[in-house]
Parts: sequence; structure tokens; C-alpha cells
Amino acid sequence: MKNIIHETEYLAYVYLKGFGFADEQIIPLVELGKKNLSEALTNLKDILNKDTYSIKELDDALHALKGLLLQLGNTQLAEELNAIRLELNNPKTVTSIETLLFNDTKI
Amino acid sequence: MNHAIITSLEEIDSLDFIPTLIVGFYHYENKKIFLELYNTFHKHFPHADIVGCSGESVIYHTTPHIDIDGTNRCTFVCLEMKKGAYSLQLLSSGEKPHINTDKNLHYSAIVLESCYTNNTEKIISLLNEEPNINQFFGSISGLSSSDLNQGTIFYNGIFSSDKTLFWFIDENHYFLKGLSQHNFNPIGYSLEITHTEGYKLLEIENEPALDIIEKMIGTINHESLISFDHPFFITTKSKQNDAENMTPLSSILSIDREEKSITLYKKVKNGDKLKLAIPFSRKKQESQLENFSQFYTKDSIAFLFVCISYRGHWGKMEPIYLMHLAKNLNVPFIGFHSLGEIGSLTSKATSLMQNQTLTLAVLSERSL
Amino acid sequence: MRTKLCIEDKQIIIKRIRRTFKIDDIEAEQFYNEMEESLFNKNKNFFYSVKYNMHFQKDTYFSEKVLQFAITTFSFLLKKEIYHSEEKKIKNFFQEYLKIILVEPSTYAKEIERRRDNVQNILQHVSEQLNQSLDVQQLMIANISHEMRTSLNTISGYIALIDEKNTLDTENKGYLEKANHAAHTLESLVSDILDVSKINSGQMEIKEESFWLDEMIEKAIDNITFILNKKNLTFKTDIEFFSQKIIGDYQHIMEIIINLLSNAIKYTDIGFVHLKVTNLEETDNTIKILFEIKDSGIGMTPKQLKKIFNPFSRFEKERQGVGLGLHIASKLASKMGGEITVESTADKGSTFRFTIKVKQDKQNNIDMSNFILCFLNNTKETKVSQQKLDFLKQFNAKVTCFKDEKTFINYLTSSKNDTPHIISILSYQNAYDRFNALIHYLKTLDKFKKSYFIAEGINPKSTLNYFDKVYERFTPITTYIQILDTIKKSNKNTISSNIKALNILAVDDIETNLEILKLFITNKYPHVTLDLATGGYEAIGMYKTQNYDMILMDLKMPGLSGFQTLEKLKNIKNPPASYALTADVYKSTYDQVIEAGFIDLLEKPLQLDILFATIEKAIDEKYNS
Repeated sequence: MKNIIHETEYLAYVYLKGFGFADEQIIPLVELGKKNLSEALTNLKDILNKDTYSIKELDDALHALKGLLLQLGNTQLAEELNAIRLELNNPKTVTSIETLLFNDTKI
Repeated sequence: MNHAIITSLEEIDSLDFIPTLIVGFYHYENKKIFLELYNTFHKHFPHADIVGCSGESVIYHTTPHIDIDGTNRCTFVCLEMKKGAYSLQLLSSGEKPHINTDKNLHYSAIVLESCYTNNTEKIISLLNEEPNINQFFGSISGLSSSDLNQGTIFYNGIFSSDKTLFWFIDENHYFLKGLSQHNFNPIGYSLEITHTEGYKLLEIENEPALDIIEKMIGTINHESLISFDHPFFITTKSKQNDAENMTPLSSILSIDREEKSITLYKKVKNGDKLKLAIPFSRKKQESQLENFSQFYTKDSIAFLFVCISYRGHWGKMEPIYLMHLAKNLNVPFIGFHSLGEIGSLTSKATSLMQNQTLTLAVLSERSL
Repeated sequence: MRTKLCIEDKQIIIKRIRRTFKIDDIEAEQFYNEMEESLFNKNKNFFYSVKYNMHFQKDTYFSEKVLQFAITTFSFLLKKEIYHSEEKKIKNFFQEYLKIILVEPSTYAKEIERRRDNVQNILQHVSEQLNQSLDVQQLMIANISHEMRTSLNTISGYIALIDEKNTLDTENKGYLEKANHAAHTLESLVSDILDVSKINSGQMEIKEESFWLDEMIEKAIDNITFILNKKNLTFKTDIEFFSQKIIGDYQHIMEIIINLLSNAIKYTDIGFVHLKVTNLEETDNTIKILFEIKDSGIGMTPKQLKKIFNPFSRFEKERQGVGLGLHIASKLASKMGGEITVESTADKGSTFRFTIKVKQDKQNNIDMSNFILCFLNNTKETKVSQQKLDFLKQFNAKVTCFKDEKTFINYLTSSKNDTPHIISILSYQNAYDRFNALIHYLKTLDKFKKSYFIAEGINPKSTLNYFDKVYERFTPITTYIQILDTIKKSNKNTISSNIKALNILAVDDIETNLEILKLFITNKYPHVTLDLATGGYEAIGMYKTQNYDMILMDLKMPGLSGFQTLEKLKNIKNPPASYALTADVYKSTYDQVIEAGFIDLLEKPLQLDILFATIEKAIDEKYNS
């Protein structure tokens, strides 16, 4: 999770800088983005840790996360999440999500 | 230069000149017969130097050139060389390598080793570095590969199993020219040898050596070992910028599946690079033999050191290939099957200790 | 004990030998003697002699003849009573004969086959290893290139930022442009690496876009200016005027020109590099263009010429580069249906020719009515200038031309004449300082505040800080078009800035999404008020107390969804133009959105041009309806 937040922070900064915004405008926005991202990821993790959860619940959480990532310029991860959303019935999906979002051991 | 090749006692009587130097090759188990012949030579020509080297088997000057009947006959070449125009030196394996030559003269040399020792590579380096030594060729005495230390050299009546014989030839009067040739092309990536113990490869690219190699060539079975199917091109650290055609080959002696190691016929060091080898086409091999026609010089004599693996690749066709060599070279030769040859892979390269070659040295007299 | 066969038999056998092997008497007799020697003296030389001939014999039927001879001679001898006592010897002889000349080669052949299988095995494994390695390499290259590109985009972004601030004088703007080009050059290098990777894997895409050739050439030349300036070479251009846009792969064609020019400069230490661009052949729809780059450099020998387009063919290691450029260029040219050829003489120089046939883009939406352009050209170069002027007039521009400096200045300074939008000067080097001073003065006058001053054919070392654009060679057509577009836009912006504010309500459960929206909108439209609601209920609360001109609503929210919120807003009062925002866009979403009463659907991440167009529309509707 930390890796994702860190990566998105960097991408968001570059993304917004590309539009010519000043640091004073970007930095607080990126901090807010990190906070929202952390909340969205925690929410998703909580759902995955539940004994039972509905596909809709999971889908909504992924959707929200995807939208946020897109807004913050992390298009690649958003697209990967979207691909996972197409296979929510697959039992391996949970593993894919965990590997993609919560594996902080990879560099 | 008068010369004659002798393979039997009866032929000695037919010599019509007084040889000053006699060089002979014998089967490693046939020292007794060689000694008998030596005694006869010595009786007839008491002032001649008589030297020799053992081989896995002997190569003769007449068809079929090899010992097909298992008679283990010895062969000698008798030379009428000017005294003083050559010198012989014996070096013990325990001695620090050194050579005794006149620094004002230039020499070619033949080097015969009873076995591959710690000194072998040092001797070769020494000869390469010596400014007054030009070409040199030679061999490690051949014998059954189950026991690498039973080869011998012979010097005026004495067999030695731990010595090096140098035959220095004064280039004012005579000269040597020749070549080492193998039949392989390198293939694939250079792999770094990361852990060795003398002759043993333990790790390549930090992985068990046997695993890495078998991943690329498949399982090494007994047949491929005894057929010497898989030699490696080994480049030492200092020579890694040399052209590929100057890299020597090294044959596999054995493998250890438990240890996952590969033992070679020569020493390697950490940092050396290894490449796989695949054989030439038969046609290319044959055209290589035809290239030896460039070494023809009238009234010359040649020495042939053929690796036991090179012989192995020819198999039953060895006589045919030696006949082909003989036809193209057109110079009488004697030789033996060895465990390592000393020679250069191109006319401009330095001499190296290597396996899997046919090494030829042609001795000629300088015309006045 | 017998040591020979009898004479008659000898003659019969010799005859047989002659007939079978088609050899003469002497050879046949020699063959026979060897055979007899082997037969009676247990000498094996004969066998090996035959075996040798079999192996090196070109006659494919030789082995058959050998076997035929063996069988017939063997049975002949065995039948004869006189050789009865030698029967065992004869049998052994022929057994040995067959073993040596037939069985042994067969064993050898099997051995060869075994070795061949080994070789195949090794080749396969090594090939797999190489392929894997290549895959990893390609992936690595793509990833590294992606990272480099990200950094380069950042550099370009900062450069664009500085450029937008518009605080630099002409000279510094020029430097900035060069820095920008350099960033793009680096990007090209990264592309090179990717290109080779793509070419090797067959994934190279050729695009088709419409562009002005002169602008591309100018950009290409700009790209090599830096390396050109490091050398004392004469760089000349002779570029025909192309009055239509062409349709082709802009990036790749430019890459090829840059590559050829870079090489020419790299391998020329003294003398010149000339670029000539010619219209070789023109039809209604197509045009064949020749780019010729000639240099007085080190040239190439015929041997070097053969390998010139091979990858990594660099002739002197001291010269920069890895030797991929020409390889890529030739592959690209070929992919685009073009060709690169070269002529060269060692120590004299080379001429590279790149020809390509492209389509012409006859669709020109250029409208230069109401625009005034004023040109001074008091040099001898008139052909291309005249073509350009004719071209501009074609699009209704009012063009005035002067050949005389004095008349030109009088025209500009006279209050009677309309102020030109663009003033372009092509003159002699020593005159530019005067013109620079003149422009300094003219710019202090109100009437020239919005005019653009361009200098062509200037010395790159000149400092002409009052000109708006300076060109070493020629002004590309696109410059005029872009300047006129800028003028048009700034006129429009002036109108826009007079319009009153817009009130927008934005609803999204994620604060970041709202703040980003706010940042983009308020930056562009400082007079827009943007209220942010983090949920449906909050939005309803705001909606009750405010009048909004536009609503931007996220569809998927916890609690009240976007659909539900809009439904509730409708119950309060008629909602204004409402746009749904979502990251999930399917056809069914669009249908649902329209049915719910939204005007349209905007996809996340928001495309700024679409967002701004939506706002402009709202503004337009508010103030113009």
C-alpha cells in the first residue's frame, strides 16, 4: 500500500506540474490525494479481509480507487485495476489485488 | 638436412648419414622397447642426442599412420643437425621456470612435457615473453586418461615423469613453422567462471557449473564424455579482448553430479570466461587439413601432436584424415596422441596450452 | 607359400579394375599390386587407400563400384581351385576389406549423426536462451525508455511553463526553444532505442498526419544546430517551396533527415554540409520529394559503403553514437515506401539521398482574410520568397512587399497605412542591427504593440532581441499560420474575459477529485465560482440556497448516487445543465445518463479540452441566449 501511495504521489506531482500549476497549488492537493488514496485502499483492504462480501461492494471500492488514480495521473495502475474488475468472479482476483496494491516488498 | 624415419631395428642399418639428434615417440606402456631401440641407436651413434616423449599412441609416417594392430611400435626421426645449432634443456617440475639460451641468438623451440603441472602455463608465458624465442610448439605426453601423471619424456637414456624437455633450434640454421588447429566454433554468450578449484569448475555465473552447462547442452552422459563432445572455449581475464579465433579449447575430463562440478584438462581461474563450442561441418574440417599444404618446404621433417579428443572425433576414419593431411603437407612426419598441445591458432598469435587440436611443427634447414 | 596370384588371373582382375573404376592401365595395375600386397603380406595399406578414395571421391557411385569389385573378385578367386589352400586368407582379406571400407564408414556416419544431434540440441537451447534474453532486453528497453520519457516530459513541461509566463526576451526565448529542441532530441534518442526494438519485433507503426514540410525541415535543422555550431562548417540549404501540406509520418521523416544531417556533420571536419529538398514529381494527389544531404567529409571506401546500413556500422570509434541511426533510417524509409541511397568517395565526401512519395493534403482551412503581412527582401534570393508570398495571397492575406529598405521604413512609420500583423525581413547581415534598433522604436508605438517581427537568414550569433522570431534560413509557413492563430485567439480571449461569472456545483465523494477539478477550472476561468459537495445530501443542501449555471456530478457515490441526487434536485427546482462524471463509460451508462436527465457524460480522467468546451458552452448559453 505504501508503494502505491508513494508512486502515485510522484506521478500526481509530475502530472499536475505538466499543466503548469505552481508548487503551492500542487503540494496541498497531492497531500489530500494521498489521504484519499490511503482511505480508499484501507476501505478496499477491509472489504477483502471480511469473511463475506458482495461483488458489488468490491466493485464499487475498486471503481472509486480507479477514479481517484486516474485523477492523480496514475493511469497505468487504474487500467490494471479496471482489468481486474472484469474478473471479480475469479477466485484468483483477490490474490491479484493484493499483489498489485498491498505488496510492499517489491521495489 | 639429412633425415630419416625409423620404426624398427632393421632400418637403423640402412641409415646413410650420422645423425646428431634422434627424436622418438613411444606408447606410454612401451618404455622397454623404446629403451632397447635407444641402446641400439646409442651403440651405433654414441655422440647423438636421443630424446623422446610418450603418447597415448604413436603416429607414423606411412599409411595408415596409426597403430591399427596394437603393436605399439615406436617411431624415431634421425636428424643430421649441425652441432651447436640446437640445444636441449631439461627442467624439473619443482624448478622455477627458466631457459638457458644465448640472448644474442633467436630460437624456435619444441617443448615436451611429461605431464601438465603448475609450471606448464608459466613455462609457456616465459617462452612467449622471451624476446629471442620466436615460434614454439609442443605437447603434454599422452597416456590413458584415467591416470594423468604417468606420461614420460626421455633424455639420453633416462625416462622422467616430472620434467620438461626444451629443444631450442638456432634460427640462423634451422626454423620451425606450424600451426594448431581445432574444429569448433564458439556459440552463445560468454559465461563468467565464478568459482574454481584448480582444474575444477564449481560455479559459473554464480550457479552450479554442471547445472548451467547442462541447461544449454543437455545431459552430459558417459558417451559424450569419453567422446570429448563438449569442449569449452576458455578465455583468461587478461586475454578477453583477443579475437575469438585465438581462444583455446579445453576438454572435459570428468563431471561430479553430487558436487555439480566439471573438471577440465587444464587449470582455470575465477574471472575466466567460458563459451560453448559446436563442431565444424565435415567439409570445413577437411579443408582445414588442406590448408597445411602451406607448410610444405623441401627436405623438411614434421612433428604432429594430435589431441586424443581430436583423434576421437575422427574415430575409425583417422587413417583417412591423416592420409589427407600427408597428401597435402607432403612432408614426412611422426607424432603422437597427446593430452594437451602447445601451439598457436594463427600465424600471428602466441602459443598456448590447449586441447582438441592438431598441432603441427615443420622443421626445415635455412638455405644459404 | 603363395605370394602372388597367377598371371592370367592378375590380368583378368586388372581388366575388371579398369572397367569398374574407369581408370587407365597404369593406375589399374597399381591398384592391383596394392591389393595383392595386402592379400598376401597382411599389409592393410590397400584397404586404406580404397577407403580414402571412397571418402574423397566425388563420384557418388564409387562405393557401389568398390562393393561390386569386392564381391566379384572375391567370388572369382574362391571358385578357383588353385587358390584353395589360400581360401582362409582370401576370406579374411575380404572380411577385413568390407569391414574397413564399408562397416567403419557406416559407424563413423552414425557417430557424425550423434554429434549432429548434440549440436542441434545445443543450438536449440542457446537459441531459446538468446530469445529469452532478447525478450528481457526489449522489456527493459521499453521500461527504461518509459522512465526516460517521463523525465523528458517533465523537462518539456517546465520549459513550456517558462515559455507561457512570457517574461523572456527574444534572445532568451531562442535559447529556451533550443533547450526544448534538445529535450526533444533526447526523446528522439530514446525513441531510437525503442525503434530498433520495435523494428526487430515487427511492431513499428507508420502514422499518417498532415503537416507542412518546411516546418518539419526547420525543426530538423534546429535539432542539429547545436552540433553544427561546434564545427566550423558551411551549412547551406536549398529548399523548394511546397504549397500544400503533405500526409506522412512526420516524426519518422524528420528522424531520417536529422539522422542524415547529423551523420554528415559528424563525419565532416572541414568544408560543408548542404541540404537540398526538391519536388521530384507531382501529381494531383501525390508528390515525390527528394532530400539530398551532401558533405565534404571523410567519405567511405566501397567496402565501407557495403555495410553502411548495417546496425552498429560506425567507422570511427571516436565519432559519437552507437551506429544505429542509418540502420533505423533505412528501415524506416523502406517501411514508408521510400529509399535511401548513398554515393561516396573516400576523403572527398558523401551524398545521401532520401526519396519518398507522399500524398498531398489539399484541405486547407487557412483563412488569412483581414490579415496584413509586410515583407522586406532586399537580397538576391527571390524565388522561394515569391512562391511564399503567392501562397499567402492565395489565402486572402493582404501582402505588401518591399525591395528597398528606405521605402519599407517609410511605409511602416507612416500613420496612413494599416498596421501589419506580421513584418518579415530578409536582408543582409550587417543590416539587421539597424532593423533591431528600428523595431525597438516601433514597439514603443501603440500601433505595433500587437505586431510580430520576423527576421530570416540571420547569423546565429547575432543578438536581435527585439525581433519576435528569428530564423537562420527561412520562415516556415506554419509560423505565419501560428502567429495569425494566436492573434485570433487573443482577440477571442479578450471577448471571453468580459463575460460575467459562472456558478458551478461539483459533486464527488472523493475530495481530491473535487480539488483537482477546482484547480483546473479556476486556473482557466478565474471568474467561475465552483462549489464543492462531497455527497448527494451536501449537494442538495447547497442547491437549495444557491442558483447554479451548471452541475458536474459523479455517478457512483456512497449514500445517494449521482442518479438519485439529480432526481432529488429536480424536485427542488429545475436543474441547470447537468453533466455526469464517471470513470466507467459504457454505452449503457450513456443511455442511463441521458434518460436520467443529464445533458451529457464526461469521462474520468477529465480531458481538459472537453471540460473547457463544456464550460464555454455553458457560458455561451448563459450570456448569449
